[in-house]
Amino acid sequence: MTEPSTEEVLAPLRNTTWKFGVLMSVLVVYTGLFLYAWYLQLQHGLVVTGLGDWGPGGGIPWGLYIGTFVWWVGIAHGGIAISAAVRVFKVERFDAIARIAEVLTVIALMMAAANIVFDLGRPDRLFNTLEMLPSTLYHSPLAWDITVITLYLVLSVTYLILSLRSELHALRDRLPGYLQPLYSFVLLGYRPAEDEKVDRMLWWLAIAILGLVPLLSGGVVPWLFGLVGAQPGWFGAAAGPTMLMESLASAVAMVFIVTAVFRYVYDWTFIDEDVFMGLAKVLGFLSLAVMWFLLQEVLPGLYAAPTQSQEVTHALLDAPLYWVAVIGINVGMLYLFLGIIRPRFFNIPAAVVASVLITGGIWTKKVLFVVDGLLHPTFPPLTNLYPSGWYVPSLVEVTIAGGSLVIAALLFAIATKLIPMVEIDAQEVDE
Amino acid sequence: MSQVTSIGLYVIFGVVLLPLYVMLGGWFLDDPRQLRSPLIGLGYVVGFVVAIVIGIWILGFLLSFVLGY
Repeated sequence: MTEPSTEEVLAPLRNTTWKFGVLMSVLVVYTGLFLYAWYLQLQHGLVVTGLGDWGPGGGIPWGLYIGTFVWWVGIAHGGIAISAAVRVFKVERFDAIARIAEVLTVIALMMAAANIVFDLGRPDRLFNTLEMLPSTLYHSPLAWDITVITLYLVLSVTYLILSLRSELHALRDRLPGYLQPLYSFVLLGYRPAEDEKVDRMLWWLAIAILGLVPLLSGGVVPWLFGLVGAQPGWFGAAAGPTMLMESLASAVAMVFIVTAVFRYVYDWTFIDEDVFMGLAKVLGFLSLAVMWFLLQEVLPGLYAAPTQSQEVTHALLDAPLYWVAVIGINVGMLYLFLGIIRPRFFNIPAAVVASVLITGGIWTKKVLFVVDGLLHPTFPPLTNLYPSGWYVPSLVEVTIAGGSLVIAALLFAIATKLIPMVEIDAQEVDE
Repeated sequence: MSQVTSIGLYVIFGVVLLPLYVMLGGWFLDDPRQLRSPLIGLGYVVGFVVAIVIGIWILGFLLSFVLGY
């Protein structure tokens, strides 16, 4: 990687182009649509979605929102895990993308939480989830989820702030005046003598984050499903590792996409092809692991599994969207491996398409995972009592869940105007 | 049965929060040993938790107007 100049890194903070204005306008317009759709849902209730009562009602209470929530949580993990790996394992190749990955994590966690709020029938009672935490924590995986996601968000934001302190101190005079109150908050109690200690604290914080990744994306989040006995397909010893692999693959794909966008928009050629090739290798092997876990789900599910598991597996294989997801992941993965084996075939735009196919495929797979278990309540004695349900997301639902992607892009665009998106060593700030 | 359904405290405080304990231990005990920076770091952690709790209360309060409750 060639070293970026301070001027290059600060350019997004100091200059605003017409292209940025157009991008913001598009994002703001969609955000308006999203707000209108959410307003409709708040006014009329979840009846405007495709969700419904489980059981005799034949509907499902969890669908697009919860699937999208799981997808966002996964993206959040990979983002900061890349940054933490840079710090702990000294993977200097990814230095230039560490900050982008950190910001992606914070935004992804916020969008994950937002999708939970969208799924609530009475979101005005949101605070009850915290008020009741001392009693629900004993037995409710949902309460564990709230606790751990809050912890992860807090640690991610703290990581971002601590890593910004020395460089913001060095750059402060060159940054926009109206942002000084924000920088004062980040620099609370800052003394240059703290740099060595804060660097060490960041190392420990990175260790904590790397430790939390398998406990959240491969632990508390899959337990949201695995601990519910009545839904076939949700329980399984491999459910945690499967979800962790999908999350990491999805996250690396998203880091790839966002980094490529930054390189293209700001002409940041200092993020060279070597960085993208490194990400492509990681993504290729993670996608392979995703397919391996998929095999573990499907083959035993088809062969001699309990009746309810067989039914869910067959339902998955009969769903055209499932095959769209699987083919998407495979096409993306095969292209990445082709690029690794024959580098002349590797180019960034094509690898971005491969990343979109992989993360899009995983998102589809996650939504189907949530939906399919609920559609087939075949756990005895419900087998004869409850009908198989059906679910088609409504336009309102699609607009709201899709809105989280657009708002994430909007927040990213705003973040580029607040902080340097590439970490600069405070000692190496040039004039 | 009650042991199984009350497993949450062990899961959260015994397993999931382990990385946090390790981090806090490292912050306060690792070299260069000093108190000021870890306390500032802890201040941010606690401050953000409080901000999230207050933020959720405000969001719920605002939504109650939109919902008309």
